[in-house]
Amino acid sequence: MGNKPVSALRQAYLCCRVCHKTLPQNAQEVVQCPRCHTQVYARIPHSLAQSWALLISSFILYIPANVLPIMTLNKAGVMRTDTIISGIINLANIGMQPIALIVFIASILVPLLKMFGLALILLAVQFNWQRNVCLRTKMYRMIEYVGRWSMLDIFVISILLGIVKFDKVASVDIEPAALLFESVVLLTMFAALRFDSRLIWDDINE
Amino acid sequence: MNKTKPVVIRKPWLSGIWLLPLLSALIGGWVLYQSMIEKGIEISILFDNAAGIREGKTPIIYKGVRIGVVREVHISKNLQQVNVIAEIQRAAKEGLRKTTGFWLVKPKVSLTEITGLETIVSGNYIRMNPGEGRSQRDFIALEKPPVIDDYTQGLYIDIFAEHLGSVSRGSKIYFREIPVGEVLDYELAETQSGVIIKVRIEQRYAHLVKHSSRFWNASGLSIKAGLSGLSVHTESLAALIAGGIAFYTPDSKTKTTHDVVGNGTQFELHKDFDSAKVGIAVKINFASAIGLEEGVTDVKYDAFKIGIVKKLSYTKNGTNVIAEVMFDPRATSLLKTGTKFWLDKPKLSLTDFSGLKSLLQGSHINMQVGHGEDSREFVALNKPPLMLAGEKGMHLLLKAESLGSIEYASPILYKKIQVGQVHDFKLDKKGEHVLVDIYISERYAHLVASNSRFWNTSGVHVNLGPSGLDIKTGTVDTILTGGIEFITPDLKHKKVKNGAVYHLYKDYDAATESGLIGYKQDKNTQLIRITTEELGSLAMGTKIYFKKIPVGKIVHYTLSDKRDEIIISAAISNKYQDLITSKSRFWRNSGLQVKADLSGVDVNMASVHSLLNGGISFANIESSVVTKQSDKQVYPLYQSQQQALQQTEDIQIRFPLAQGISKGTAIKYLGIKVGEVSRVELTDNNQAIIAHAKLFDSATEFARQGTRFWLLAAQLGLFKNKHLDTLIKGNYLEIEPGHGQKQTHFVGELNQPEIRNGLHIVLKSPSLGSIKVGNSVSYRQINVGEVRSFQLSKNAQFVLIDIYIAEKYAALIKNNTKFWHASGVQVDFGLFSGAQVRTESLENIVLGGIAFATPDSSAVEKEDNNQVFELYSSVESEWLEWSPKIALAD
Repeated sequence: MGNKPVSALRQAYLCCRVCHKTLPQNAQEVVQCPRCHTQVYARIPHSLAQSWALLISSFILYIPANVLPIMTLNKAGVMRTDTIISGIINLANIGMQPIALIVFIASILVPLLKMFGLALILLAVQFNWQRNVCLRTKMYRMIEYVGRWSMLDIFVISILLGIVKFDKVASVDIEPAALLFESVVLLTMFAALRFDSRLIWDDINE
Repeated sequence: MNKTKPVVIRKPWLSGIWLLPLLSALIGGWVLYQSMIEKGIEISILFDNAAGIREGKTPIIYKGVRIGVVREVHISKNLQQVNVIAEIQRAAKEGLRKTTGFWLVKPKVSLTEITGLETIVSGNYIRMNPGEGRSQRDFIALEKPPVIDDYTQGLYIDIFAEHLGSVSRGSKIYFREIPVGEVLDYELAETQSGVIIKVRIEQRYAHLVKHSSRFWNASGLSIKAGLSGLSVHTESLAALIAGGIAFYTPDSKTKTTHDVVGNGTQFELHKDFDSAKVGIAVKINFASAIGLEEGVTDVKYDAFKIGIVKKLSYTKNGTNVIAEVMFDPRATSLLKTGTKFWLDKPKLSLTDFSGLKSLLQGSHINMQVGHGEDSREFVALNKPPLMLAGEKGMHLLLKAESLGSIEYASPILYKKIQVGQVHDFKLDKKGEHVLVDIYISERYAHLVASNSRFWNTSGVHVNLGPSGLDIKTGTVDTILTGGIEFITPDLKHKKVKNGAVYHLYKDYDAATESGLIGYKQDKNTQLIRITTEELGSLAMGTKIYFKKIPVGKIVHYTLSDKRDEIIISAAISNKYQDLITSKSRFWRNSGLQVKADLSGVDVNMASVHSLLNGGISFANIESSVVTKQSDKQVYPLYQSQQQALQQTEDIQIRFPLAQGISKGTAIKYLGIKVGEVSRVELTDNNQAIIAHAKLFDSATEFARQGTRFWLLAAQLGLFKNKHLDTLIKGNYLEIEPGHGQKQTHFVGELNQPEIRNGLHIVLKSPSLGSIKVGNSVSYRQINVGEVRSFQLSKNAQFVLIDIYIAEKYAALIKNNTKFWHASGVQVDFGLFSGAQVRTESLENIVLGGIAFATPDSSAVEKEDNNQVFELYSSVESEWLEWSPKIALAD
């Protein structure tokens, strides 16, 4: 570690979030990017607080999203109401373990990893933990990338809802958890988006 | 380095973003709370058998409303029972208590009831009956529906019986054979000496049950066999099959208010109707006990059993039998002093089906309700009474050769209405005749006069003869049971007194002298006479039709004085009397007439009835002199409508040989059929034939001196196809009218004579074209003549065509008349005018022909014979527009 990283901010440079133009830091707080006319901040304002708020919201909604049924399948008069977990178990029971695994990863594992990962990163920034900065950065990148895949469940339900419409014979209805789960996914995505990853290493090496 | 003053921005203590977790918490909490509210209560029901219960599907129903659904079905640990986990709506929470019952509803189809049919489609379901006690979540299912179902209102009573019999859960309680309640349950009495049947009477019938009510077992068929027959007593069919309980409440004169039955009142179940002793005891005095049996012989009123003989005993002097009869309590109003009883012995008859039953059951006591005071003692008659008010009618004696199928009480009919009945019959003293004593009720007595004729209408008279099948029946009843009918031709005739003697004819024809009697004096009809050579299918009653409407019928026929004809008398109803005139023509309806020829098929069908039975139709031919029909007039009967309606002139035509002439050969004038050969015969010397022919209608005028007949037959040839139609239609005779005196005998020719009448003209043409001999010459597409011959002109410069114009149309030919080839189709094309197609008549297109037109100017001299005209190869449109007024010769 002979070459200590020196951040741009420390050298009084700002970076435009939109066009990535490097600008010298002005005396004024607010700088406008001459190229794309975006307001350029040193760091996203209130990034940490906003991320926390969104993340906590997603945690709160995650509970009813998993407890309540996500959809009702009406097959020839037999109503079957499933939560996410019961749906996965059902899939596994009827011999579709690979699909169950995919759904499990997409619907349970990924959101959970995402939420806890984000929470970890936020905590690290909050309490100025110095270790594993690189790992956290990689984790953040992964969270941001993988976030959209949690929408798999929602995609499946919305496709089923549209296709399976045979009145009395077979039909699919969404239940409140679908909306809640959707909210969780969106909230975590926003939380990751509002978090300024540069904060991860801002306070190290001091 | 920069000494700029720092800009201090105060951050708010709490960012607005923190409202988001709060909102999330609120939403999540509320949704959770909602689902908690909506989520039902889980209960478990232990079933012995869960057949038909499906997870997620089988509903829990209360009062027809789905209050829950089966979530899971498990087998119990000991594998003996099935544990059904169901989710019940929170609203039904209050119903889940200690005594709450759950049971499985399956379809039940039995003879008396069909329940749970909906489960066939929807699957079985679990019903709930809410209970009381403390709240509970685990239940044991009932094996069968509970007694009190959904708190239905009604009267709940217990009936004590020795045996259950065929009474079962759901058996009906009948009051006057109407189900008013049902058996809910039964159990052994505490003493084990009997059965207690729990019964629910519907609320609206609860008042029918009094303390005095008597219940008896109406189950099944109770049969008592005895020498005099079987006693069969059944309740309604449903009770017969499923069992049931009937009850009766005697009329209590004193209506006490405390006679209201409360829930749980006990009643006794009697073994049967008799032992319930609900009847009215009546004594009937019979002359003999034959046919009576204790406990078996029924009393019937109008085929309903209303009583039963309970006991038979002799009177003190031993001559008569007293039958003690137990009457149905309903019969009270029937037991009056005037009521009569008699013993109906079984008889087998086709019309009385109850007779069959009485054959099985033995004889029964019949009754006729009278008036008067209530009575409980009666004297039975030894034979059935007469009709109502029998004393006041009229008795007549009929003398018959044999009794036929007449029997006691056979009806006497007048115009098929029963006016009396046969009272008795016996042989006269010498044993030669049967004397039938009949009775005519008072209100119809005036229908009998000294000239009345009686006949036996018994049975069906089928008369199968060469004239066809003749079926005569009386009413259906008399067909089966026999009867006597009569007519009185003149009601004003002398009246008769009681006991008058008449002859009983064997049938209608005999009685009325073939129907004449009945119509002789009938004011509503008018008799006409028609003569015919043979009767054919005509018979008495054959209808006379006018425009296929029946207006009368044949009432009589007889041979004429000379015995060579049959004179038919037909009665025409007065309504249609004016249709009969001196010009009326009658003909036989021979059913279907099909006339087919090249001009089409003509089907003429008489009404279906006359098709089957034959008939006579008539119509009035038009005539200036129409006179009223006179009584003396005798109408001939024609064989067909055509014959009847045509005015014909009979002529004879002598031909050297008959080739092509036969019966039916047509006589035509200008192509129209004007007559027909009716008969062909050889002359006396066998040298020639004489065709007898008829000329129709206006053609009768042709029967004059100078008229010529010749035979037209098909002529075939390369250039000479003529009268081709005769190949199909047959040859015909052509006629050329003469103008001489009336004449009926003619000499015919075999070939077409030179026609002298009409106008001969010659057309000259550069070529013959398609013209052939016989081609038509048309004016405005109407044939007015024909091509007779053609030849080259002397200098071979032209073709000369000799044509002939019928005399009638000769006036059409003027000096400036233009002739042209009318052969074929002419098609003009033009760039702007489009296509123009002009054809002559189809015949001309095929055969070729000549058409002509005359200019629109009247002051032109008439043409002479053999005038030469130009024949143009095509028409000029100007010619087609000519339309002069030309007076044609008559």
